[in-house]
Amino acid sequence: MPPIELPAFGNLLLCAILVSAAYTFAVALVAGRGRPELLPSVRAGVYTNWALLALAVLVLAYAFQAHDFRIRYVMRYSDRAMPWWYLLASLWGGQDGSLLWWAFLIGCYSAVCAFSLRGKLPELQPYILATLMSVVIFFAVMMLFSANPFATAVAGAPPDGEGLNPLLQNYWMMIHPPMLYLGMTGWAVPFAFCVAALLTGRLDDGWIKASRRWTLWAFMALAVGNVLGMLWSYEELGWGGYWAWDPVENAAFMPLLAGVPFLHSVMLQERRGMFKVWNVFLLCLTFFMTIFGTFLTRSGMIASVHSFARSSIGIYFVWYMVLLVVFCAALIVWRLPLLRAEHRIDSLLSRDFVFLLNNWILMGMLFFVLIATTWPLISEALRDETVTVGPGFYNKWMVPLGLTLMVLTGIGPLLAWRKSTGAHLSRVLRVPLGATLVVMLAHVLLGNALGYPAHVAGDEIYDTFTGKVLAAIYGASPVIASSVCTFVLVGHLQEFWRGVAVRRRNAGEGVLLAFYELITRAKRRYGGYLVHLGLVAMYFGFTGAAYDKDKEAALMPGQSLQVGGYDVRYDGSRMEVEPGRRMIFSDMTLLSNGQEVGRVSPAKFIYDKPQGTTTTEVAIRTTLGEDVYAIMNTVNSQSKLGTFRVIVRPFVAWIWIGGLLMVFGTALCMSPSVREVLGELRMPARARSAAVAMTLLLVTSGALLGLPAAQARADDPGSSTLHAGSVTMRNAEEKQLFARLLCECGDCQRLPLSTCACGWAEDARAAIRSELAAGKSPLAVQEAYRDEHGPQSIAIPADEGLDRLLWAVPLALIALFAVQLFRWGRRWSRAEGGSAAARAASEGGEGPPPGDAAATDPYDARLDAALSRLEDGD
Amino acid sequence: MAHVLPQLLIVLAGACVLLVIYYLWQSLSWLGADADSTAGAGRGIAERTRLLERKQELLTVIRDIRFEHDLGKISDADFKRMDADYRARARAVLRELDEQLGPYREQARALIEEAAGGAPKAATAQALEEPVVDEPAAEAELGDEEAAASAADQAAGEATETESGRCPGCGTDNDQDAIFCKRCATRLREEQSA
Repeated sequence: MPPIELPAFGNLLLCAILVSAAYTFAVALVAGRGRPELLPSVRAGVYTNWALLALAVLVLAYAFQAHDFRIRYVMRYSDRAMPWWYLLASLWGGQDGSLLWWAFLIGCYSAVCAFSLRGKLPELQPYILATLMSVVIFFAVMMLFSANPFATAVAGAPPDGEGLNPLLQNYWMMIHPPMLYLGMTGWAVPFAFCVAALLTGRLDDGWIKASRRWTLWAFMALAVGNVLGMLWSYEELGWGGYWAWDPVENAAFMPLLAGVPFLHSVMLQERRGMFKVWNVFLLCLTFFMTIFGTFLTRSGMIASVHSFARSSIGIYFVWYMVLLVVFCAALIVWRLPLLRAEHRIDSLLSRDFVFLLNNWILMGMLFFVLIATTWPLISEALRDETVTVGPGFYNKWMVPLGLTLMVLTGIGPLLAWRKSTGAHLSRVLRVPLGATLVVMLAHVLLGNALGYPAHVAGDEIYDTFTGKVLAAIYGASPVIASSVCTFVLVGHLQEFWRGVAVRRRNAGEGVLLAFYELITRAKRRYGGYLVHLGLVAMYFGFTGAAYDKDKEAALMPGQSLQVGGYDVRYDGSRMEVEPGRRMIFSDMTLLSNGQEVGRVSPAKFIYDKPQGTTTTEVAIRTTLGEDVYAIMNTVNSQSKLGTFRVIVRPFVAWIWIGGLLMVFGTALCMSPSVREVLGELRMPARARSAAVAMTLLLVTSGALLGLPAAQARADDPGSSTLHAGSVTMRNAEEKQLFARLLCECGDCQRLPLSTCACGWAEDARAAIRSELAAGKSPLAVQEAYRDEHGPQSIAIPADEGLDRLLWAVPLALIALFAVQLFRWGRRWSRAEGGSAAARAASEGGEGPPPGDAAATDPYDARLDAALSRLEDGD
Repeated sequence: MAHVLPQLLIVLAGACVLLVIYYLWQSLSWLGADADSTAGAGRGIAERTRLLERKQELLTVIRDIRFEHDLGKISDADFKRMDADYRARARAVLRELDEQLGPYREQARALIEEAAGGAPKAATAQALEEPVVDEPAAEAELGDEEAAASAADQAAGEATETESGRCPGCGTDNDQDAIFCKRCATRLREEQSA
């Protein structure tokens, strides 16, 4: 035991963090009220706060490494057998430590923001830093009074700790939470810019431009965090899926659904001065969703496989969210006179209007997911009855919403800003629509023969007309998805191609140089296109789930099972022992047409702590075309008889490739220009292009560095879940029914019976099979299950009564706003008949002076010279 | 690594303690700073920065409109209208930038007169009168009035330094009649005919 009083020192640090944040907050407010000479003091205060937070994190990390079990948090989440890297990861493995980590990341962002702002934006800077410090204050208060990471155990220091949950003992624990937290906390910075702009009344585009890179970074980090979570789920939960619409997963997804519309609609503000109120609202909403998401994760109010234990910190979050809503609403109402702008668009056939539709569908999806996620709470409040909204509900409803989003993603880049002419439209739509038609016909005619039918059987989640409609859409979704993805892909590639052609024609450049110059001179545009292409790749990957093939069998060594065109031969089992666990591997060889194409080794891990805990380790072989996903259920150590389940799922790798593309595209949008990096140094054109090429090479290399990690993931036997594993389902009727019924063992956070491999679930399945064999209908079985275990045991609320509002309200709002948006669009396009002078006057007096003859204006020559320098890349 | 990590954490923690002390001291010492005249200049710089950024945005929009016209997305009539609209806005911003520079030109002229002890040299006076369009770096980068003032300072400094033989580039003392610096070869004065 180290001699230093770490718990006392840690508590002292938490107090110091609170005091320093409060001090900096106060000085910042004074600086903002006409004392700009205090700004250096404010910045130094931010750096002090960051150093204190870093010190607290280092002290806690040291406590883990030194096994200081006097600290309750260390005792709960570590033991003496854990290697140093899991001890590090335990920093964020539990509630208290993750709150400290969250505060530390806010502190890091604050320090970097303060450093980048020195000398800039003197009016906004005090309020930006004050807002960030207010967030630190909130987390410091919570840690001090509710979730103290340095609190000591009442019973004193035990000889050993309880250890980290086996589910968390894998390398993903080192990557996913930090990345996700980076994304969630990152939205605090653009939010701070927004608050500062509202407080100071400086609501031109300055704050948007200044915060753009921060916004892009937050988006990228959060998107990457979500994709890493999908990867972890794919390996971790052992059910072959990557997204379960778990409430905590939704909590990390919802800020993206609010932030992406903001990224698009700010372009409307920059170009047309419109939607200032909407943009401010969106950014406040995004930050609110990050806090709300954290609240969902930590309060334990909604059951989730991810959530921390139910704790007392929920009330702190509630008060903070109330304060946020009241404060932001008051600010926006106060500044409405400055925010209001006349809304005009030239045409409904414009990129401007498609951006509005983009906002509409994404906000619709956000509202849909928000209602569904909180429906258990709403139901309990309204009728004192808890229900569950399982993944089956989301998987059906999000398909049409997602397809709508993809269609808009394809159309937007093809249209021009302000107005697209009829001739232009027919020209740009020709090739993408033609390609779409070809792919659609090929899919319909050849899909069955290739093993990817255009239509699949969709199960009905409701026994009503709504259920039939949803099932029909889901059934047709493969061909719709392939068509829409083709449209988006070809449309975007066409944009790249035409841009290169224009540069070659105008500048006489070669293809490669023209491509470099094209994307580096319009990084936002083409970086955005790359992000869209990443989305297409991910969507393509999602469609593979419709073509799953899986097989279960009991095998002796040497025997094979056939699935999805593979012979999967079981070669034998072996045991390996590591400190803290025994591992039983089953070696399997994959053969295709008699040729060996790969090997996988699914396993079972048996942990010493908690004693006897057994986890299922899946093994995955990944190719671009499909994944082979092997699960070992049991193996007899005497006879070597093993029971296995093998799933062949197409196109999964494209999800991860799409994620990488999104990172690359966002990085391109964020990347500084050569002039920003090198200052006034003027470079010859060749050197400039070389610098650009080197930058792109570095970015690409950085992205490709992710591939070895992905390969390691493919080779790694993966991680495990305590309850998932091989579940036998004999037919589609069983699969559909088991997916709707949740395990009520009380330990697995209510996984569906189709996934949970615990003893209770196995007994329930056996009983249900008996009932089905006796002639009972699936609906009757479901009703009996509900009567026995309560409405929360059904994964999908019925399409009746109050539960119908679950989908009816969001859908009605989506439809209503669609109609209203078109009405507004037509009104705004009629209002655009005003004169250019009137528009310029309403946008801040930047229009030409009366009587100004542009042809003889002496500034025309300067303007042309500046445009020429812009073309030269200065 | 398992053995080294605890010591490494202690070292890093010690560094953080030092940082806390340093930045806290800085913050407290700045608390007593007096309001100074540069505050107004700071606001002026911020305003100029805003205009320069606005100019850059408008130039980018004009360039994008031209590009979309080349792509065929915008008709000729729409292109002419939109191009004229944004050019008008950009001209207004340029006009405002020039109007902002007026007082700073006068300030630079006064500084030069004070430093050089008389009327500024012909080349410097001409440079002050010429519009900054011929100084693309000065117009394109932020804080142009700082550049103008520093250029005046540099001109005055150069006059003083070359008279004493000290090189304005590297600070080396040279002979009073030296034409080039003996260390860095910077030209110190024009060659005089024999």
